[in-house]
Amino acid sequence: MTSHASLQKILYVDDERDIRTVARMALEMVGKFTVKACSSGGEALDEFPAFQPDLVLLDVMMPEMDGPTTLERIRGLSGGAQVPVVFMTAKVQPHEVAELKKLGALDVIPKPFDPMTLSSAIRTIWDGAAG
Amino acid sequence: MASMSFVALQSLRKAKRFACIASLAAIGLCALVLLGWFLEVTTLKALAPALPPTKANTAVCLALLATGIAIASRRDPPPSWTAALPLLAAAIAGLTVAEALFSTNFGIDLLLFADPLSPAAVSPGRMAPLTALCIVSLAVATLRHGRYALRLELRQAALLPPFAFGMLALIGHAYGVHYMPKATFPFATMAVPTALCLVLLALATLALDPDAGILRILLANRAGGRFARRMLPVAILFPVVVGWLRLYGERIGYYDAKFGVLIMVLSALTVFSAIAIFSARRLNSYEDQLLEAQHLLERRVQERTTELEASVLKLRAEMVLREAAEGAHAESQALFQNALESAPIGMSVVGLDGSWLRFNRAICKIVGYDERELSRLTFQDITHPDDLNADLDLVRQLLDGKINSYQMEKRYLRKDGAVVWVMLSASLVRDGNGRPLYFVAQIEDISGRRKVMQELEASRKLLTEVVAALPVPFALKGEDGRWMIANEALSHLNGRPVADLVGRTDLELFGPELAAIYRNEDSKALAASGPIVIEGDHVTASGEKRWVLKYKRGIILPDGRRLVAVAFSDISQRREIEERLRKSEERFRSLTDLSADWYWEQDENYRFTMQSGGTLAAIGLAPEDYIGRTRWELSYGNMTAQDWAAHRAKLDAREPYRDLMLARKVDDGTMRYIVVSGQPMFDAQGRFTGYQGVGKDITERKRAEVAVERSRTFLEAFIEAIPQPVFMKDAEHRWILFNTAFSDMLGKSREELLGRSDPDLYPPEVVRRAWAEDDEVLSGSGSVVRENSMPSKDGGVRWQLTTKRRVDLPDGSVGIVGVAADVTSLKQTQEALRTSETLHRLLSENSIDMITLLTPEGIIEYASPASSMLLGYSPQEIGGVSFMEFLHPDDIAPMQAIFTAVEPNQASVLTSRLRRASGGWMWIETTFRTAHRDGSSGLQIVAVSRDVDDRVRTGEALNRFKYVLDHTLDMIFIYDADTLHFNYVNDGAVKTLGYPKEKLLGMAPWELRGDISVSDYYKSIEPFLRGDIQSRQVETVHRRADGTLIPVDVTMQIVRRPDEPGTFISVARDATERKKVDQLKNEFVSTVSHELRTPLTSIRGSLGLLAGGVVGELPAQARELVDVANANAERLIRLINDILDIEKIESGKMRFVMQPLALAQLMKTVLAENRGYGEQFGVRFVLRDPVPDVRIRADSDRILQVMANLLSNAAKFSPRNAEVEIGILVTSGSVRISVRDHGGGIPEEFRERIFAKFSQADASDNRKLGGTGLGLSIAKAIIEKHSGNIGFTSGTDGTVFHFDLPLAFSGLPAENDSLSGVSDTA
Repeated sequence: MTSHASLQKILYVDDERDIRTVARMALEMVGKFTVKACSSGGEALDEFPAFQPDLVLLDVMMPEMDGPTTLERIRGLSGGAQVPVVFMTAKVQPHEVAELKKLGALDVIPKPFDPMTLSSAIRTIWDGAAG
Repeated sequence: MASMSFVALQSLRKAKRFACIASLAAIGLCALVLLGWFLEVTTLKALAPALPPTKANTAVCLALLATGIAIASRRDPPPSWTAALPLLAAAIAGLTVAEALFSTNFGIDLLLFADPLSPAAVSPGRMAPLTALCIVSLAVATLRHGRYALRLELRQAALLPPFAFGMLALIGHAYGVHYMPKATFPFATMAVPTALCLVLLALATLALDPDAGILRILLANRAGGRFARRMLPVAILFPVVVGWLRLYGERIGYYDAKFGVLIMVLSALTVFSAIAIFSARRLNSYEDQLLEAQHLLERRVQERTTELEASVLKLRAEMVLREAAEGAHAESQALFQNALESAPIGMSVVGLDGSWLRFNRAICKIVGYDERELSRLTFQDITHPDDLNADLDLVRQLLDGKINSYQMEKRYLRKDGAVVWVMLSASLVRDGNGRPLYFVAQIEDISGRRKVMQELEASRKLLTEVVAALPVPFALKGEDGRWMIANEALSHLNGRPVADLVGRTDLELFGPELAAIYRNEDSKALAASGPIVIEGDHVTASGEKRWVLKYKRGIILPDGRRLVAVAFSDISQRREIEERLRKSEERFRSLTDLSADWYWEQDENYRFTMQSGGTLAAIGLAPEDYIGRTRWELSYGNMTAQDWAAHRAKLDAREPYRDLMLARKVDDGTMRYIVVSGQPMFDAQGRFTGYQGVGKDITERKRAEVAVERSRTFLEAFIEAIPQPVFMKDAEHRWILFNTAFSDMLGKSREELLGRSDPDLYPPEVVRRAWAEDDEVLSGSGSVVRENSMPSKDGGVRWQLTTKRRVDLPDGSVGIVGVAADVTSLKQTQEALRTSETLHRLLSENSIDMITLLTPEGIIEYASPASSMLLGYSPQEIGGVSFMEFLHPDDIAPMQAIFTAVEPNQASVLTSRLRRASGGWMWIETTFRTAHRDGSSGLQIVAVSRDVDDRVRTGEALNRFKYVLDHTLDMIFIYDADTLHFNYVNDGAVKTLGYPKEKLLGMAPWELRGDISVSDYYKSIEPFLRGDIQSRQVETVHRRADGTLIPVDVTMQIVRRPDEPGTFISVARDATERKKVDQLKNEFVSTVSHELRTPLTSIRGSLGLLAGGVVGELPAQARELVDVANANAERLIRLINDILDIEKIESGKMRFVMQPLALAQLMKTVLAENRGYGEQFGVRFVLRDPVPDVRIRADSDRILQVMANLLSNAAKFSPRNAEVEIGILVTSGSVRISVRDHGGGIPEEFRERIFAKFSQADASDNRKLGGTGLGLSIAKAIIEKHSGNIGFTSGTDGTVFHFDLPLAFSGLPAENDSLSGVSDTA
């Protein structure tokens, strides 16, 4: 893993505009993160090289390119091989979570999420990976 | 960066080669000059005519210098030579300079050759001072090594004078300019060879240091180097050529010196400008490349740095690990060394050749060699020859890799020659490539053990032999009743081979009862100080009981084991004989003591030997009359000689005889009678020893018999004389006496009646009546007279008037005397009288059937009173009315058909509807019979009508019911619980399944089920048969005739009548459509719930941010509203989650990962996860019991979900500051987990549907407590998927919810359970 000095930049991908708005606000205003919110996997792949995020937060079910595919493609990008990825999804049956983790995700955050604790949840996941 | 070295290796080599070639050329030139001096050839001295020659000394100095340089250009020059030769040259040149300065002559100038040509003014043969200075300077420049080595800059500066002056001379010669007219010192033009040599040597010296100073710049593999190399020829050639051309032009008068300068300046200007532009372009291009490369480099560097950092980190971690490992290794090595040295057993490292590389003191002690001696030996040297081959064979196998290690018992020869037994454990150590390195061996001295073992073996063998040789059955048993030793004698007694006895226990051999007895005996023997003797059974292999004496002795071994030695003595035979004797004695005693009979014995010749009991005195015989005599010698009057012969024949055949009657006239003239019985006696060898028997005096009996016979004869004669049937019965109703009239009356012979009783002759009702009379007679004292009918011998009825009377007989018994008179004909007359009217009327008046008499036209003449009961009309009301009046219109036609068709004395039956007085129709069955009217020829019809309304209606209902059943689309099967074969199937079943009805009727329920075996089917109906359940719903599949399966919902029910096995009714419905609908519904629910989440996520998130004050503080009222909205959004989410869970469970999509879980760990998680929730309600969750160390088989997440549901319910319904207790109770195979709250309990009316979906006790609680009403329903479903069950008890002091889960099979590690890890509920 790359250095875990601090978590600052989050690349967030979700096709639902409203959820994107809420989550971005929660991350920016509560967690004080720098957030780049993308509406599709393709957009995320375009933004990734320049933004070089510390962590990627991915929706699972998206049209065109779903979360797992996006994760796979990010791994092929420069600086993307090691970037921590967290999924945020409504599919949180134990076996579904296990499958997502198998793809290389650090953790899975269930939807609907609590906006006030979302940032700390991500930070906990980050710290867990760092430790 | 090897490819980018500053000076290319190739250039370095070229430079050295140039140095070598240039110096060799200089040596050649000098050699030519010296040859010229030697041969006095001026041309050789000067190389050109009319030019000054090179002096001999100059040539020598230059040759020395050139040689030094040539040596220095070799790869490894000897430093002394490279310095010495130039220094020698410098010395000569130095002296020459000194001569010129001080105008002296050291005589060195003409040392070699005379100089005839030089003008006198000049010192002949002396080299020019400038040349000498150049030589010194050149020599200084060659000082590259050793103590006088000079700095590079100095050395290369020293090359400038020789090169400059050499070039000046050469160019001067080329231009034809030989003098410098205004020089301040005499300048003689330098000879061409000298100038050439100086230039060559200066360049050669420069080439000696190709990667330093000027040459480094020139040869540099850089833009500058490349640029300089390109420019240098131009820079050298251009001035020379232009200078020559200018001079030549001036000389031939084309222009003057001033214009020459102009031309020089112009050409220099042009050429240098061109050079500047050209070089600028090259440099720019170089720099562009450089920048690009630099950029690339920087990127690479950055990448490499990252990699390097990572690898440094990794390396550092590895180093730490390695240090730790090394530390551990060192420690373990120290430990090993220590252990090796101090080990009580021998440990060694042995080389592949068998030499002892390392070993500890214990080995020395075992083999008796000291360390020094042993280290010179191999293990082969000290191995006992007999064990060597075996050991070497194992070593070979080790080396071949066939085995990893071996163990053997072997012998070593000690130094003192003694043999020592050891246990050798050896293994082979290989290096990383698998090549064998050395053996590691462990050697334990087992001599002592072997000796003890051998002794033990010997003593065991001795014991076995002794035991085997014992003629007495003997066994040795363990305390547990296991037979350890048994000998042949015991095997003979028991009937099992020894091998079958040893190792078995009493329990296995004799069964639990005897084993318990034997165990008791054994413990007595173990407790006793000496042997104990027990008499008892021994059951053999064939089950025969042998009576034995057992001598048991307890043995306590030094190791504490307790054994029992048993010796047997078979006493069955003795016992049997004793038993027989005892019995026979007993019989005998009872015979003789308790009767008046006597016992006698005769010898083999039939002579009396004894008589006991009773007496023969009564028959006039004293003992002396018969002892020693045979029976036929005593005069018995009733026996003829023939009788005796027959008797004797019997005796000779040794046959027993019974009741031989003998009569003897005694002195008073009366006859005495005796009967005797006898049987032959044999001794143990089977030899006949005589007869024994009993005798009895029967004189009195005999006399009584005679008297009875006499009185009987009289009585019989008397009653025979009576014409009426006379009989006598005893108290048991047997005819004991009767006359011929009686037997004739009954139509039986005397033999058929005597001793017989009524049941032999009469049907039961007659017997009952007769015996009732008999009993009446016997209990009373007077006579009983009865008139009875009974079956006569011709099959008809016979009437009999019987008078019976009780008779008391002298012996105390009672009897019945009866006289019968046949009154049949009288009776018949009376009977005929009665039947016609009385009986008739009685019948019609009292019958519940309505009897009517009709005219042939159907007019009712008479109706019995039953009419009012049947139809509600009185007989008077319907008299004179036509029967047709009452008939249902539909029934009139059939009735008329009957009326027209009837013939006298024929009956017809019609079932028709009659109108009732109260209105409505009633089903009546009427039998019509046409008869002649009382002796006249007129006809009348007798109609008997009967209420069959219920029957008809029930029949109709039944038919209707069957019709409905048959035509129901559902499949209906009826089968009895004892046969389990369909005895009814409806048309629906036939149609749906496609079997012919007849085939289906022969089938059994499991033949239809595609998913169950016969035994499983039986198991499934067991609860029905036990009466535990009455009905059950099953989802299953049925196999159709064409083999396809259809899903069905089956409702099975058992209908049971008392004392019957019951009947199953099974209604199956094709569930294909329902399944489709279910599927659609489930998908719908799943999709809808999922779709709901997306907007909810936004709503929940937005409200959360608002409520969290992220976008600014809200006004209090707005804040309150947002909180309400937020809480309800959360509740909606919970509801959707729960609905999804329910849907998943019901559709079988919920996956369960079943694993063995430690209960204690699970409970810890439960408490930790729910603590916060409890605190919201001010409730504490506590564990009531310590959690036992057991594991359950469950899906951890799902059980946590169940616990969260139960605990949240408990918290919600508890008062504040209360405790909710979690209880754990382990029973065999399962664990019960309970959650107890101290709330108000569950309302009675709610308890039944507590596990139903969306059920909550109090609708008003919903909002307050925020439940979804699905929690318990989910919990129940989850627990049931775990093969567990959930339940509760509730009172006013609180509620306990509990669920049971099966325990995991202990002893299996968690990972191994992955076999059955994931299971779908489907």
